[in-house]
Amino acid sequence: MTPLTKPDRKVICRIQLAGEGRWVRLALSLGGLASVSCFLVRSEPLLYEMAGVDERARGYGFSNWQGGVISGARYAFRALKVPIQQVCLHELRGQLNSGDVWVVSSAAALAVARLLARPVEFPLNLNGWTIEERVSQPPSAEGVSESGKADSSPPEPRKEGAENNSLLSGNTGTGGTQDLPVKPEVADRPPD
Amino acid sequence: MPLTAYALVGDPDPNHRRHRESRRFSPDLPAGDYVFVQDVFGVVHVLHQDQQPGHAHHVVLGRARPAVSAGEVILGESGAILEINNLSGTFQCSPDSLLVALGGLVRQGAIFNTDTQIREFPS
Repeated sequence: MTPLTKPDRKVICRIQLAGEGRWVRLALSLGGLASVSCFLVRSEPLLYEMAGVDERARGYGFSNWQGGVISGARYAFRALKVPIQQVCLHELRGQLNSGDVWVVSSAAALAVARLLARPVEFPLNLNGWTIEERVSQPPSAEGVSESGKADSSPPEPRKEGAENNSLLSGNTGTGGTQDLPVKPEVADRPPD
Repeated sequence: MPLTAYALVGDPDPNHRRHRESRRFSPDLPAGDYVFVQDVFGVVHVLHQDQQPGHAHHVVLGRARPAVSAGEVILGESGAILEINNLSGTFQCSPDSLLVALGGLVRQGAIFNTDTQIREFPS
């Protein structure tokens, strides 16, 4: 019998947040507990293409945006009371203001919760930005490298619904901190 | 040991104000999960995770003030430190910065014991 999926292939969660004409998309997977000495690693290849909207953000580099990923991921582990695992960053793209690092952080927190197959039972700031998410196996070796060509426009919502893929859209309304009304649809997860 | 002042890497916008619930560490703080930032004068400031969900370190001192250490800390009762680490996307301090934080916390009344977990993460 030929397995359809290599056993070592990780599940990747891709989260996109969009609002006020700006957007970010990131994709994360989790590593094992044993490899947690380094909290955040980059996948090879890494799809990275961040465009700053304002002057300050145009001066931001990977380290600045990466700070948001670390913040959000560590928060999700802590809030869910789950032992920290290594987080692997596969994709980070978007167009954001300098004040939007929180958006990256929120996307990372959402992605970690989904990868842990846990509902988002912790407060998270979304300020009315819309969420799209997708949990999938990584693509075969056709990724774009860090300096590669990537479409810089926000992708259209995808409509496909494979068994292991989920795609949710939701506007969480305006305001500050809020509990998310979205439900994760990761395989093998009991209903809320 | 010379101290390293870390400028903010994640979210270095100087317009962020200090969070009104940011506090100097003291043994009187209620138990719970906090983020901490140690300022360049050695004072450790903490903010409960619930007060600023997710992205939090940038508002512990505010105004893009630099730090000598930053991370997460879990407090028990009466100033007991249950766990501390150097995880901060905002400051991304090196593991040895934790030594500075431990000194500052002890000076401010924290209690460490053999059960305290000290976790270092490469920056």
